[in-house]
Amino acid sequence: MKHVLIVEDEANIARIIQHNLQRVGLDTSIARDGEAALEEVHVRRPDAIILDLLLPKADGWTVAARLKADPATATIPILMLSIVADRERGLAAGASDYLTKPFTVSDLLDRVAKLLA
Amino acid sequence: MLRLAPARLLASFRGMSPKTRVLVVDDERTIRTFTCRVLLDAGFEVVEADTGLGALQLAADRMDLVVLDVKLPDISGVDVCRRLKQDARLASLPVLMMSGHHVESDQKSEGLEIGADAYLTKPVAARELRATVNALLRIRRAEAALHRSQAQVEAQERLVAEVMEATRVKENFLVSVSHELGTPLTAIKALVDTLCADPKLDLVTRKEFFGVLQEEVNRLSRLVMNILDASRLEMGRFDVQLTPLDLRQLVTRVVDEIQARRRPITYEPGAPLPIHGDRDRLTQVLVNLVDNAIKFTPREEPIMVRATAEAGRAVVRLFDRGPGVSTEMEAKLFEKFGRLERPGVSSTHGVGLGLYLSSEIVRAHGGSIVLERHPGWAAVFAVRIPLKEAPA
Repeated sequence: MKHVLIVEDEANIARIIQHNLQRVGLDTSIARDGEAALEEVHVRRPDAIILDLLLPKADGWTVAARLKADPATATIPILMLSIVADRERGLAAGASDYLTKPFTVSDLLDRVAKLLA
Repeated sequence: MLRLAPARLLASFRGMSPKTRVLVVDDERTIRTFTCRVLLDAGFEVVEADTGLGALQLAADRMDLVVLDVKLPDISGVDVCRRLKQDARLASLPVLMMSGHHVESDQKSEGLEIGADAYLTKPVAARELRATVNALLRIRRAEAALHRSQAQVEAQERLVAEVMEATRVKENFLVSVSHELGTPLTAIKALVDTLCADPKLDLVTRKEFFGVLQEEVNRLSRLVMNILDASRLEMGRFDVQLTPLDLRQLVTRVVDEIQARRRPITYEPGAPLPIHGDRDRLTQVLVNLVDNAIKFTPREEPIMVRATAEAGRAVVRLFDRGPGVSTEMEAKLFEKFGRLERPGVSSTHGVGLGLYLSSEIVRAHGGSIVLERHPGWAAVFAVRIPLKEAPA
């Protein structure tokens, strides 16, 4: 079963994303801040990461930079999630895709499916 | 020997508008009298001095110009001029130096070098004296006008800087507001999408999601209300409707409601606290404060509310174990947009209106909100509102 790490400090948003990923048969875990996310990536080796950008401790940009700098994690596809429409910067930072909040659930699921394809 | 010229006395007796005042410094009486006469005839007010030190003393007394002889019995005219020019308050006072024809041209140069504005060699004709004095005064007036316009330019620059700062604050505010509005909206949209897309969702999850939906809708509506309140406050259309009520009862209701849905709160209600207050507004304040405490305090740490009467005031204290408030932040805590950024907590939280509005509301009740320090707690917010006087 494919595993997706959800990095999101808003518990309710993380919960609803998790519910929907599980519904389409994905395994999930949640990290509430940037540091927890980096730890979780090394423990779980997810197949994809949904990464919110405004996070406590280390923000999403930092997390992405660290993951991309490490050969062991550089290939894990990242879907960045933010209220700020900053797609170009996101792709330049190594994200495979960028989704602006608020998003539609079906859109999110489509994009996650593409990352995992 | 210091004397007041008659014209000045006359002017002060008649209460006339002050004339241009010229200080004439010369120890040779005939020359001084001549100089004074010329200037009086030209409509100036004249003050005389016959020593250098006397001149320095008088110069501070609202002079517009000094006519200064180089050769004086005590200190030289050059020294007088130097001292005037070194005194920040008098440096702009124009000095017209005069000397006999026997004085070396070196000395003239020195006089001009140390700051004299003009130099005339005696004997000086009446017309030359008048013309020179008038020319110096014209220059001085022009300089004064220039200074004024420089001050205006500086004032405008300060104004521009203030406006830019205000714009920056508002821009930050807009960024915060879009985050704050966007976050509950994101949750609401995803929840509604999910509930609509899956009619066969099990009842437990469905119930959970409706609870979350309600929570997020409440959060969104509180934020929108806060923004509306802030704009009402801005336009001076913000008021409170005071009616007799029991503050303790209000606190109990808010605490009960929050406990029921979100999280345990240690609550110590005391005796009833009769005040004159606006029920809705005070509820808003209490919800705001409790929300803040919940937002910043880790789930496993306690939050405590205590309501007491102290020195004629109802006091509601909210104790939290969040990361605390730095002294630096404390100063901005109750300012508009003075967003509470506590270390280690997501910077997306809050737009900086909650505490500002709360303190304005409590102020409208004749009360105050202050941050207190209590051992064992990170932050304590104390709301004080005057107790209703007991009926006679």
